[in-house]
Amino acid sequence: MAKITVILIILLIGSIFQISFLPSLGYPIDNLNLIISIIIFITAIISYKMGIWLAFGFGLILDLYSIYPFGLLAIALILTVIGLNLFFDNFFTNRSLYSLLALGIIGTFIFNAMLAIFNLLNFISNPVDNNINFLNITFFYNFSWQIGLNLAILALMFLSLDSINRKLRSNFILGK
Amino acid sequence: MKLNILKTLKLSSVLIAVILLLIFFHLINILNPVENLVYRMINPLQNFAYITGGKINNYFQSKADAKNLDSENNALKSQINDLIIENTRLKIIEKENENLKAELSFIENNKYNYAIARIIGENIDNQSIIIINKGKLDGIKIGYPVVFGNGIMIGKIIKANDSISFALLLNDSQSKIAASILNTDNSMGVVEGEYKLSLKMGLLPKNQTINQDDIVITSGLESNIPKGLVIGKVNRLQTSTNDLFQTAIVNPIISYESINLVAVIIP
Repeated sequence: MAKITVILIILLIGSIFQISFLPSLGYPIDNLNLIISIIIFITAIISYKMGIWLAFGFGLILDLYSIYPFGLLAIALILTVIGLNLFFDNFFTNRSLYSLLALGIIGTFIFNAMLAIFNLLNFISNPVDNNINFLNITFFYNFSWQIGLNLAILALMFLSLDSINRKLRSNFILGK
Repeated sequence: MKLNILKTLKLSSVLIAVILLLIFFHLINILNPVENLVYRMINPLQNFAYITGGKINNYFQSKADAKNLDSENNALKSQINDLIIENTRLKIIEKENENLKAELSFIENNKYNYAIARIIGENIDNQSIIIINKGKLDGIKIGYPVVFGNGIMIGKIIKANDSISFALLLNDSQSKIAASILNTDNSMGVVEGEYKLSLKMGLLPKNQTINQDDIVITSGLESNIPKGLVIGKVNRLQTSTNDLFQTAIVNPIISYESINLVAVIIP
């Protein structure tokens, strides 16, 4: 019961932050994708199962406040978690800060790639009324900011959790 | 490890199947009461979050702007003097143009209906799509203009749910509005957004005289968008010897980032 309450609180606060608070802070802070950062963090550090439930919950709420067809963001977030889990199981298994940051880049890329694929399909179906919105310099600036800000938030979350939970230890590459 | 992967895919498949079912319910409008309930519950928190974020942004913005105040002050004083002279001239013209004013479609209380709405957020991956807290139940439909103040157009409704709507701001590269310039030739063209940075007005005949600071307004050629809503001012012209047309770079009258309250004109 407590776990469900925590998840619901995370869903509510995370959604309000993403939809309403971050956009009002202006450029470049409005490029931060807090939802994907939380999902990546939970999937990599806590558990895959919690990550996928958060992806499901966040996705449904974001779909209510999205210009995209209902369900697209939820499916995109779930597929992102599946992709993250495959990379986590096979490559980035040690729950270190560097693994988390690498998964952060991969997760952000997967999520945005799916939205880009949808945009491309939209353009192909109706080139007169639609543009390809990811083949311009502004998109790459914004995407770079998103990656940078997401990694910063992930590092902050990791270090915060590390300072209060001795079981989770930060691993750094030690030089000889 | 294989068992792990199978468990992973099982839960994901179940959730995706649930989402597909919800999509079906959404399309046949069964989910509408639930969606509207969620909007009603979350909207007050979103209002608070958006206003708070805006105040924080304004605070830091004012700190940055304070450095430029002196030079801006001198420039403004000079501009005031020019405006006083122009104001006198305009007052004379205003008396002579009372008949023409009736044809201009500025928002007037007794002419158009409009729905006042608050901006509660933005689309997740596009900062030029704002979310407002009014929707179909308030009479809003796709294509209706979104204005600020007393007639400054900032965008157009592109999606309307029951309780919320989405508006595409004019500075997005997908935005296109039929417009005209208040110059001697009454030049007509199309105003497009330029990657959220500025506006440009294309298809302007080269032989027409367009000056800096000429006002750009909606031309009224699009259905649901009345004539006369202010879009911006001409900043500069771009011409090329090989082109038949010239392009005007247009500056919006206000910063779209500072807006909190808007009106949707309902024709």
